[in-house]
Amino acid sequence: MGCAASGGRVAEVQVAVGRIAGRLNARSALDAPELLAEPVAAALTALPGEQAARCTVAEIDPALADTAALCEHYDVPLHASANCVVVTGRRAGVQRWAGCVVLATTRADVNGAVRRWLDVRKASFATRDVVVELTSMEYGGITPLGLPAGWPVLLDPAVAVADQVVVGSGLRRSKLLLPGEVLAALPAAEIVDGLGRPVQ
Amino acid sequence: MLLQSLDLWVFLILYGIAIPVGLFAFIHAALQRADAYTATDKLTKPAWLGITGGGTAVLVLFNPAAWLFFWLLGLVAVLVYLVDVKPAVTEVQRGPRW
Repeated sequence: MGCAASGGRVAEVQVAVGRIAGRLNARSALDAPELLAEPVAAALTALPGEQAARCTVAEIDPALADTAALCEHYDVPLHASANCVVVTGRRAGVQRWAGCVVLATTRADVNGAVRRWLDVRKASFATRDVVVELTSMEYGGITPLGLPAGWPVLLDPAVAVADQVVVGSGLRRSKLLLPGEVLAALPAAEIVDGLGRPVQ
Repeated sequence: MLLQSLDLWVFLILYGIAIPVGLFAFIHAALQRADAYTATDKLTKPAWLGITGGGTAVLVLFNPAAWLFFWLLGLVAVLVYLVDVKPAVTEVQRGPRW
């Protein structure tokens, strides 16, 4: 493939980013480790170079880190924003954990899809303190990239195929923008049908 | 008659606590994370805010002496939240327990 074709591809990606990024001012995440929590920066550099290069980061007002506020203030469509929640349950004395990533237009089906996937009798959201301690990320910035080793990253199919989604950076003062396929290519990634249930 | 006055007392107490209980349910519903409702297969957060808020509004606005049926409906709406939804959304946000 010639240079013109790959140039066209880059332009297309930029158009897509521009559309979903709203008023977020994104730049290469590899160049801005200070905008990433430590485990997130480590996970980014561990990605294959071509994938890491497609991840961008934007600085935001930390007070607007929560999805609803972020989308409203920075004109990011809800369907381009993904939430990562940590779900946990116990089986045979062992606490199981999973990061669940769903579009902001949906909510994780904790009592259905996640509970079945974890194979636990009862699944619940991990509390704020526990999440912050175990992930070394700030609450409001929890992201699928850089979760503790051994935690599966459950992805709604809509996230996995998204051109570009806005997720946390591990910090409240910035957001990562990355293609769904980068998340789907993570070794811990599992695509789970029915993970996100639409909000009526 | 004793029985009659006992009825009246029971009702007065019920009447006195219904509005604070309704307000408590509405405030509790407002403070829960929205995805906790989906996680427990309940109606959405806005729906429960409407039910508890509407129920409380009925308790405030309708005089039970004249509108007993409506008043009781308002009370039932609030109580359904408190006995069914509240324990479930609390539980799903509590994990893990070591």
